[in-house]
Amino acid sequence: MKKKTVWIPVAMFLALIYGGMLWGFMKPDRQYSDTENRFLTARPEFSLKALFDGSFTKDYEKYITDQFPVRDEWIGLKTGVEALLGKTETKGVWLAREGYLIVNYPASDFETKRAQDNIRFLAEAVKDYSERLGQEHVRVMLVPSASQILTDLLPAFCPRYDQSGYLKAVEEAVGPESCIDMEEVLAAHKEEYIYYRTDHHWTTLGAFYAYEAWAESMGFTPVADSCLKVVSQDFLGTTWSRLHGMGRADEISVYDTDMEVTRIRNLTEREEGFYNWEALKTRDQYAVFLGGNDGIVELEPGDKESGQDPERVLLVVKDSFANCLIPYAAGHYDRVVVADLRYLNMSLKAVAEKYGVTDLLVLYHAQAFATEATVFKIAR
Amino acid sequence: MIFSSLLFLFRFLPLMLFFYFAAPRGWRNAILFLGSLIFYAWGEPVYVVLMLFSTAVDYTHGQIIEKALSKGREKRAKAALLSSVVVNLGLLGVFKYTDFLIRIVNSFTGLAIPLTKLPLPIGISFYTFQTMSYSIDIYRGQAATQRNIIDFGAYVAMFPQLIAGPIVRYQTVAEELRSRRENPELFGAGVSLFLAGLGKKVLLANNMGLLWDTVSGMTAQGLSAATAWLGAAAFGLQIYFDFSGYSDMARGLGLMFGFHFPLNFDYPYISRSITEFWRRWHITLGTWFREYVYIPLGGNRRGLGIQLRNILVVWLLTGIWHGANVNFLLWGLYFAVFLILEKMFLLKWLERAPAMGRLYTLALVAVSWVIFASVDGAGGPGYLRAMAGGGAGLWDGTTLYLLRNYGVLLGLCVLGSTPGPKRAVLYLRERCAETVWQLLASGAGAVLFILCTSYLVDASYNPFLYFRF
Repeated sequence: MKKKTVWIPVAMFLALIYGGMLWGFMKPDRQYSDTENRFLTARPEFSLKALFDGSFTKDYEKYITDQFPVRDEWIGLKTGVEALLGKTETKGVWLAREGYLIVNYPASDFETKRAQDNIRFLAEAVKDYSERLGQEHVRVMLVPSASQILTDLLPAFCPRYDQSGYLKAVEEAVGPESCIDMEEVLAAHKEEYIYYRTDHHWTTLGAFYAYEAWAESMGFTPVADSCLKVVSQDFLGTTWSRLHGMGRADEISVYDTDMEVTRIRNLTEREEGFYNWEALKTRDQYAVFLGGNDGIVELEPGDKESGQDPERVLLVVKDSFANCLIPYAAGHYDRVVVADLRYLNMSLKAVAEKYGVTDLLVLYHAQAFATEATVFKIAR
Repeated sequence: MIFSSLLFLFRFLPLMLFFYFAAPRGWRNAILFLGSLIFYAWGEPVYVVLMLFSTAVDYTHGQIIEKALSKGREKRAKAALLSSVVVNLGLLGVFKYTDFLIRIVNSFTGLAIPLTKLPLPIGISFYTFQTMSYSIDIYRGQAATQRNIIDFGAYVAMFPQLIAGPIVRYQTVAEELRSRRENPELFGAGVSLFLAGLGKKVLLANNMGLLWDTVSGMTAQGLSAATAWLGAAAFGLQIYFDFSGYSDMARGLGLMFGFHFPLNFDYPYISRSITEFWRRWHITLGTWFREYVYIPLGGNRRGLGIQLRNILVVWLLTGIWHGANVNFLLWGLYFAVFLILEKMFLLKWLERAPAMGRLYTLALVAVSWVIFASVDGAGGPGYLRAMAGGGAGLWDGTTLYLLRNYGVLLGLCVLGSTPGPKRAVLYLRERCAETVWQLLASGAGAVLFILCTSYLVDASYNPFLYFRF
């Protein structure tokens, strides 16, 4: 009897390592991970040079890790184990109350030379545009992260980096009259569903409160109601994709407006409406707003009489946080031009001139603004 | 290549096992040698030449020593031994200690001799010690010469213990190099040991490493005493589970291929004195220094004065072996001081109060890890002050937050540092039918393996700690 049972652990181990290897060989390589929003490492090209400088072996290890069979499920398993071990933070994400996954943005995102330089570029641009358009036509909104507002949901005593110092520094540099204190606006609604549970973005409701504050400061009468329509109930966002587990799926709502608008992406591609409904069928459901991020997007009202010059033109310089707010703002203008400096390959001044811009709104997620390498373009 | 990687588990090991067991017995050392070279060259495509050089040097020196001894030419044998030791220590000196010495010279003389900036070849401190043991054992007549360079190469390069020990002396495996019997029983035992080691490294050590990184990343002024002790404990647990995990994996792999490597860690954290701690911590390194330095220097047979000097010498060497930096020298000196005190009077007191002894040992070892971790002196003094309560008070919210996050793992680590779990396993085994036991153990092993794989696929924090050794 003994002879046979000694094979049990041997068989178990061999089955696991050979199984893992053969599965890896048979599985076709994936180019892109849509849950992680990144290209996965491809099989590295062999060359003697790459072998001897060590890059071949390093890339090969990355390749195996990236292409491991059912990669996402493994990551989910690990997250489950972490939660079981009683962890409230894993991979820089807090497993917070009420099904929230909240990203822990560290001090190293804000206490850098780049974060300071970006404030300088912004201040320069605000000064410049205020001289040309008038101060009352220029506004800056930096949106604090969920960790800054939803503090009641975070684990007790968690070492949270306080972003308000950075936000204050921005306000001081550009002048309080041009800056809207988003921390104050959002904190007043912290009990409401203003940030997604599984994504780093704010919800359309959060954006609506920000819009109200902006409209009032611009002297407009904001629309009376957020007019939200739920369009998805199974949104699992970027934060969830880091963990592949935990958290509760989100609802996506959009501003339900009957305004007709033509969306012109990157000067050529014409689409109808503020929303790209197709995006709701993909992993990146947030791309429903304006169809995602493009270098430049023009929004033209459908009822505009041809040949008539628009009187009021808003230029929005932004990251993806602005995408769900813009439909509200668009109602106050003849035309809206949206510039995303990450993808814009013409000068912002040229854009402003080309479209006869009359108003400027700079809207970023605070952490993205502090870490983004392209903010310098705002003063170009 | 490291054991705790997908590459090793799902590519190298299956292929290695296949070629090894498919080959006729006479070929197996050659396969092992070749596979080990690939294993090493994967991370060090250039320095593999250095290892081959070291292998060739000791192979030829071994022959010369034996020939000289058999002809009664004692002097010639001694000269050859000296030459082997000089070459090995020379390699170690050039690649590991040159820049350290240059920096010392520069700081004392104000000169600006440029640093060589040579990267340290992985595992060099392990394999030079092994090859040296070969020449010395031959000279002492404790081992027979290995005539087959393939077999000798397989001993030096043997991938299970190549990069992080245990340090296997030649005489330990000489017999098994020539004739060994791989069998499913040994292989199964190897699997258990390997998986236990993998779990220690991936699940326990890496998590403790995260905790230590969090704590050591804070400023010393913002560190409460409890948090600082928590951090030091985390580092101590990280290095223990990492190192002993590696040793277990090495020994497990050895068993799969029919080799018995010596035990390297024997529950060091239950020691009742520093003397006992060093009998339980990194045993193969301790043995090496005892056999080849301490005893040749006279050991304890030439009076207390000489003995204390020998302790000092051995622990300064032990310290500097762990890295070419002043803090490692200090770390060795720190232990030498307590070992000497214990030798003189402390040990007698400690033996009377074992509980006190345990507390004393753990506290001293925790402090020693802070010295060990502060390479170039960075962080050390401030951190020690925080441990003494000179930072941000006794405890704070951060302490509670970290305990909440790592409490379960800390508990598991503390438990795992005692012989308790092993005893429980043996108890269970005695009471189970053989088949039930094998199924139970294999099931647990598979779960462990799957959990480790999930941590590795996530490519989360997985450091290699021995790059300074």
